Amino acid sequence: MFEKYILMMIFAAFLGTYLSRVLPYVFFKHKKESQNLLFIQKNMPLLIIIVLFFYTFYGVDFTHSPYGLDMILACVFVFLFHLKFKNALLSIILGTIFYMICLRL
Amino acid sequence: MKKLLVITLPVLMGYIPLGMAFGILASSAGFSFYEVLLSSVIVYAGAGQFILVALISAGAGFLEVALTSFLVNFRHFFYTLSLLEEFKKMNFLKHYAIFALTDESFAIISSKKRQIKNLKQKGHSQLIFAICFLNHSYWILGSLLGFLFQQNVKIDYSGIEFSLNALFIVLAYELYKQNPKFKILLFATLLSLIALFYIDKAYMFAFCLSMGLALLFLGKKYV
Repeated sequence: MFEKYILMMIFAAFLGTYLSRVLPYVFFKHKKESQNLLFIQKNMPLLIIIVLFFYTFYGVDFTHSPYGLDMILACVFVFLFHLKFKNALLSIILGTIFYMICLRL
Repeated sequence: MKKLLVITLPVLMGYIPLGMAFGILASSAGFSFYEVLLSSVIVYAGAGQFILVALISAGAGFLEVALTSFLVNFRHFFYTLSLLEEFKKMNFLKHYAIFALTDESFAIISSKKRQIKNLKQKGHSQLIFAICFLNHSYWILGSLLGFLFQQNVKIDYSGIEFSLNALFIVLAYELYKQNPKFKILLFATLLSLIALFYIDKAYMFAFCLSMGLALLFLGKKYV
């Protein structure tokens, strides 16, 4: 039913995720919002998502054929498709299918 | 109740397929039905759960997974922060609502802030709780459907992990549109590229986020 290692890791992920949501309540419930916090609140999310995006490129081999091109191409596809139709879900699903096809060519 | 279903319908449309993608991915990586269920019930974080699967496949340790989950979901820190007043007004149900505050729940609650403001404590608590609970249910349902799909429809699922990249592209686009700061986009891209080529995968988040935070503060007046 449960493997001990996977169970532990799920618990670790729960802990990290829950803390990211509950700590600000614990820390700031008696304080007013500060300028610095507002600044971070406004600008940090964009930075984090871009870092996350590049994080998914670990393990892609850029030195040998196809030089990560299938992945880059699929990213461009998702971006252009999203630009045109602005439907997040469709962009994700079609992009993934596109990449899965690229992998098999 | 009917109104709530209508409000959360877009989340349903998003969570079922994305949850399914998680279920398929986790099942492909060797998760059992109960492990998929447990992840979606207690972790409940879209991108965070995809990354959890990747980290488990890589054999990561407890601290690494906890820290990565914290950093991946660090944006939620600001969601709770910007809903502090709303949470403070709630009764005991706030403990669940804070636990279950995802991007989508945050988006819906924020968009209803004005309407929620005029409610009494009980109605206020129940409305926020119900939004979070419905969304959570959609997510759990989606991930279980994905598990069942992977187990019963035998095709080659390799490449499914690209759904994560696609998700980030879409999120980055939407965030940039809300906060069109080209300098931050450029800075984040450069920082990430440097990290990608010179920093070990395990330290990438810690490196980028601490550098990002520090340089963002130092360059505050130029942003």
